Amino acid sequence: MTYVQWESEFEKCIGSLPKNEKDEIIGYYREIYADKREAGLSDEEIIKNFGEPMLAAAKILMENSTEEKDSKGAEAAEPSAEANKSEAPAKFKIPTPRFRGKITVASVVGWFFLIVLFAIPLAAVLISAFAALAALTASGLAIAVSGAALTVASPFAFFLGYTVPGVFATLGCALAMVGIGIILFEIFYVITKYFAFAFIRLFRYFLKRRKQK
Amino acid sequence: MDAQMKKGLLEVCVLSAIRDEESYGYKIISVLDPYIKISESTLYPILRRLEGCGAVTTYSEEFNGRLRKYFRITPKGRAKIAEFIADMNEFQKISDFITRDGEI
Repeated sequence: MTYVQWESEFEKCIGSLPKNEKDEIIGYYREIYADKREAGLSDEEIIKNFGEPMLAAAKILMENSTEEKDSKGAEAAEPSAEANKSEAPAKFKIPTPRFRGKITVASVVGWFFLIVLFAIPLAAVLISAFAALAALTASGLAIAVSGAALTVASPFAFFLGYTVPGVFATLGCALAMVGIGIILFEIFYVITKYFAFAFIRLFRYFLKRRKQK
Repeated sequence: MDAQMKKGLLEVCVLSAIRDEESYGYKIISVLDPYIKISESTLYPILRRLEGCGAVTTYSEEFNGRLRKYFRITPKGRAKIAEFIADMNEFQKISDFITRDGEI
């Protein structure tokens, strides 16, 4: 591999950096390469020292990312410590629920009621709602299929004792039921979403109270 | 060696390499070579960091028809070296305690 090849591969690996930074890094390597050549080293030796383009790039990219973090931390600590301190942690704060504090009778009762009064009925409502929805959709589809089959069989309906308008009525009923099913799906979806968010909020509220204690 | 410790140590090594006179990438590596092996990819972030915190200043000068970037130590950089020496003295005391009586 020649230096030109090494550099083009290296450049690809640091492609994620801004252009001016990329140019600076490339310039740095070019300078060292030229200095080493003048010191009498061969291309091969120099490239061996530089290492695999990907590894060299990884090293620089890795250092760059930690450096950014470091300098941010230093800035926060130096000029206006208070102003930055209150901002920075809030930005990176991830709400992680942690179970701290003692288990008291009150908390056990609280959790019990939360589960019994809220979670179980909610689960029951949701399960039955989805069961009803599934049943409606399934029956609607079944009728639709039978309706369609009857439509195909309508030329022979006379022999089967059906009348053509009757077949269309069945098909219409079936389509109506599928329609109702779809509308109900939308309604239940909204209800489920609402309950889920309400439950999460309640859960967070309990956790917050535990933390404050 | 602990990565954080090595990072700090390398920074001071680089500062020491340019303590007496300004220097450039290849020369810094060569000067340090007998004491500590430092690769080009390691040196670059160190130089950037030192420049970022004001421990070194840089300027480019033409050499053999090309530009060469020189690094010069600042009072802040010298203070960093002094700080390191103070830390080392402290460290030496602890080390003496740990290795007392020549037994581990």
